[in-house]
Amino acid sequence: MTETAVPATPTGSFQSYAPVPGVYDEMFVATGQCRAHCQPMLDELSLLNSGELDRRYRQAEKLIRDNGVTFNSFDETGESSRPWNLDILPAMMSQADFQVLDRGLIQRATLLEAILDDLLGPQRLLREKVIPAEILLAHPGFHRAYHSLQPSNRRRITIYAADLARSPDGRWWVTGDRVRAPSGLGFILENRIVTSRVLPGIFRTARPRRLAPFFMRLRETLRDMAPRYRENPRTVVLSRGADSPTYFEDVYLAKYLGYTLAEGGDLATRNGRVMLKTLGGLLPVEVILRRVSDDDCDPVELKAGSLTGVSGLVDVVRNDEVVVANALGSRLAETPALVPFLPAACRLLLGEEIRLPSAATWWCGQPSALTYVLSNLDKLVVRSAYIVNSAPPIEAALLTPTAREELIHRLKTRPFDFVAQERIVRSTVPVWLGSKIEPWHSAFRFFVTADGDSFQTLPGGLARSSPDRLALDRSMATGERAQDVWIESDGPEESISLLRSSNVPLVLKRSGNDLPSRDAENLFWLGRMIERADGAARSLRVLLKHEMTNEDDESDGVHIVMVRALAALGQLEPGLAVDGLKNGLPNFEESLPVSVFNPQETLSLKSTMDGVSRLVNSVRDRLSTDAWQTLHQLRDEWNPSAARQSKIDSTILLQLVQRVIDATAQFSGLSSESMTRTQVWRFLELGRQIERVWHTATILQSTLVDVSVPEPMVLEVVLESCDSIMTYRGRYLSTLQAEAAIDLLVTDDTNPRSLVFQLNRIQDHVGRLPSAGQAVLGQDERLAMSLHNSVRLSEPRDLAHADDGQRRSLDRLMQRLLDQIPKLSTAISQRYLIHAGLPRQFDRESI
Amino acid sequence: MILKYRIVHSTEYQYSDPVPVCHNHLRLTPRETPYTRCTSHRLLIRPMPGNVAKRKDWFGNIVQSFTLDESHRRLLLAATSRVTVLPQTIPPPEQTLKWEDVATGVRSQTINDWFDVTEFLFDSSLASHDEVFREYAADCFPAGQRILVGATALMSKIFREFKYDPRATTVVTRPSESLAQKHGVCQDFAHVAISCLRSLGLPARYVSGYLRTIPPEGKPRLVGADASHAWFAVWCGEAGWIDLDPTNDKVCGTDHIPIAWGRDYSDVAPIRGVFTGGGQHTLNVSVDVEPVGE
Repeated sequence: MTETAVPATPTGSFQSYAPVPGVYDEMFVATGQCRAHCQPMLDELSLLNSGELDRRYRQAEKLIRDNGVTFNSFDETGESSRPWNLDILPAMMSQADFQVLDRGLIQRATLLEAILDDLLGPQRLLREKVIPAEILLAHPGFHRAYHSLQPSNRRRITIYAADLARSPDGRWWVTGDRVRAPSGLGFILENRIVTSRVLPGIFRTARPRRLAPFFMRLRETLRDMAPRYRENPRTVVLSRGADSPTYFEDVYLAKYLGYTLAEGGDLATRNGRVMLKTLGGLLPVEVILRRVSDDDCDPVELKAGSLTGVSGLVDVVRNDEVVVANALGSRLAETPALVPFLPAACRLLLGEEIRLPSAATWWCGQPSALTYVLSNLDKLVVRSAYIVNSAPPIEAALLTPTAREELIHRLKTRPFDFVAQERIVRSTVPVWLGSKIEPWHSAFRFFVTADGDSFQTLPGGLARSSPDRLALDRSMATGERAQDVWIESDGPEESISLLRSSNVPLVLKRSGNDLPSRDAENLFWLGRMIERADGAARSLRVLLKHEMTNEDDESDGVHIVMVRALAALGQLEPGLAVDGLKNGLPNFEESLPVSVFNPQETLSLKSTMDGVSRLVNSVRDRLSTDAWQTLHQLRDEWNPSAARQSKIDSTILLQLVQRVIDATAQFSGLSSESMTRTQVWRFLELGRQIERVWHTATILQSTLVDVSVPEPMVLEVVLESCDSIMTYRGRYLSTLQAEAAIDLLVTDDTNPRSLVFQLNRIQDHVGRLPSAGQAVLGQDERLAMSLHNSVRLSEPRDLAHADDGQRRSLDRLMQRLLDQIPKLSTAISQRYLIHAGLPRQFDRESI
Repeated sequence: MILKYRIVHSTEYQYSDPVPVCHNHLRLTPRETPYTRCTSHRLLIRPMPGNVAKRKDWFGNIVQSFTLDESHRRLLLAATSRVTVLPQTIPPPEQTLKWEDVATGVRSQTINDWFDVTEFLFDSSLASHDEVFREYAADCFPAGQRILVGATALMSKIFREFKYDPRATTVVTRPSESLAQKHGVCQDFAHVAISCLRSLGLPARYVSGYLRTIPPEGKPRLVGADASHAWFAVWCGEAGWIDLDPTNDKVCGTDHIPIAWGRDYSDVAPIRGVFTGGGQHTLNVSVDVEPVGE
């Protein structure tokens, strides 16, 4: 490879950068000799001293953390989820390099699509022995339903990704093809946003090619594939759900491309069509951009028992009533065993030589290949012939003698199950390591999208780097750093936003009835969880503050009352609220943080915060970024390490609950200021108001039913727990009386924290839900109305009246609310939210 | 001798809880072959679906599919078929090819029709290669043995050594397990035979169908007492596929009526599908194979 190197003395951090001898470096020919296309970038970079680079690096880290970019976005333990680790230095690629890749990748995508057309159609390649028939016919992923499934003129590949390595001579080698539902596009977008934000000067100077036109093309391609309603076909991103490793990206893509995010349970097949379950009913779907593996798309005809797909989908595809991208069965094109046969297939199907070679691969099902592999085993990596997954390849050279023998035995007995691949000595890129820049090996992923009859390459990519070359041969998830790939531009770049208007006028909509039922359910529960967290945090704050200022004893009235309230709210061991039991339990100071952090107690603040963090991720595409971040930021604080958790005392706990109160207040502000009053907002609000009724009723019942001494102090903490102390003082100054407090918290319809206020809003909301307001009221409407009326008609004087130290009317009213509120919640669920059962297989008939 | 049959195959599911939706793919239509003709086929489904689609699958079997999206507690499927079966000429087993020549011919892709039979060589979900099957079949296939002689011997060996026991296995029992236990039902016997043949490099397929049962002398034929049946077929080169029934130690003739074939049971299950809800359910199957003339 010839390339002009600019002899220049790099200044600053790059001065001592030394490429590894015998390895291609993407930026430097040798120390001090930068490749020409990197010079403008290097000039800019050299202006930053290492302290400045470090500052930018931290800024990038913060942006990524704030945006919640993770590879395993969510899991219950919070452990395997790891933030995306981005190196701010981009990998810069020359026009000439990209041209080679572009042509090669387009040809390869064309080839793979032609292979699919053939394997799932006439099968010339097999009949003419270009590809061993076994590779398809013995493929465990070849569900026969894929054959002749779709009309022959339909595109099969909408998104193709290739993993590449660059060898010491500068040539590119494909190490893997990805045709199932390749991931990485979301990360590429996010990397671009972060790098361009932390290195704005360099971004302006280097002018890398823009990514947006590629995504516009992708969107147009998907739109043009729709069987009907081509102006604006309903398109969904079919995700595996919040615990899938690529969930972050599913959400990101859906949001960026403007599609609805759906899981298998949100879709159903009815009358030969795929429908999205929404609040307003079933809405037809035209295009599915799937992030689910082919075999998992339909438990009826593909892999039985799969829960991520849509029952009956294959039949709908067969009748061409919906388009799935990539087409079902595309995964066959990424079969490692096909690799050795691609050059011959290329000659037969396209009549040309393959431009981008694969790293040398042997399919052991061929006797000559097996012989070669067995005698060169230590130089090769061995992997499954059929399945592409995250399992690391086998490196024979690193095995123990026994394991090596075992491998040889398996290769000999089931040779057709294995391929062996040569390793490429991968090129390096400069990586910023805090104080110096070092060469790390790099693996590249590039993307191609269908464009008319051909394909288009994304002028950008994803680089993963690691000091350990072997680590990169594994899956997408390996590698210690990610880098944005910048392609040198050949002219001024047109600025395009994906929100650019199309020529077809849109029908103006206000209702939002097409909210998927699952989203409505998650929003409803998010509302409940946020309010639950807020209520618990306020009550905890009252108690913690009280303890800090009144250190003497645990028997004062306020302490007793608040412990009782917190036990009723599920934040404290109930025994602590009972006099006789208290002595056997550890002291309050120690037990409070433990019980607040108890993940087994469903109402504990820890469980509630886990719920918030799970739900906020599930409805991420429905919330504004700011609103999402507000809550997402709390996640780490509520997932402390065991060591950190053991250090949590009252002071730290007070800070933590204060942060919860601040964040929920901020979230409320954001949602009331910036969310449109659609059903999204309504379900969130309904959840919050229902929970607030439960919280206030619980507090009032546990604190004010038994008249305590001295009552004014108790009234003060109760008002504070219910966030109404300022209102009270504003009205009555410092005279604390039960009747006035009860009025304010129960019957005052001007106090946004009062019970009557919540119930009024609840009644209003349920009346505005889709299909509400019919001649016969729904169960939810009737319950809301009756609860509202019973609170509205109560007399504050009557509620405050005590007999023998007991407020019986207050108790009765609160008990009624506590009994009926769960019923109201269930009634709303049953009417609007999904409760589709899991799919079951027909018992295979016994013979 | 030409035989004509009227076959009624009915399946009834009863559920304790309502089933709001179900999707079904049925393989209940007898297959047309050079020797069998399905002259009429009617499918009754209750509750009645909006639409029943009909297509052929990869193996050429007829599949009928439908979706029910009205809530039901009972699903009835009754298929009534009229089939004419002609006697077929079975080549003299001693004149068929040597088994090694079939195995090599298919492996090296040189024998005629190799492509159509190749997929029946490989592992499938319920029948896979293994040394144990090879060993079990070894005495039936000595070097130079004619393929149909060997396959018939294997069928008889399974018939002799295996105990018929409907309670011993389920529809997903693996053949290695049936071989170890030496018991099972027709499906298991077929899977064992197929695994043996594949382990020797011979193409073998699974056939589902019906069997005419002949009542004991002097007793009337019991209506509905028959069952659906299964056997295997071995590919003998130019002599084609020959069907063998290890449950009855018989080369299949006019008593056997094929419905569908595939690599193993999972390709030809009579009813495949998914439903939601339903709670507990009970299943009743009845098959009646009635000869209606010769």
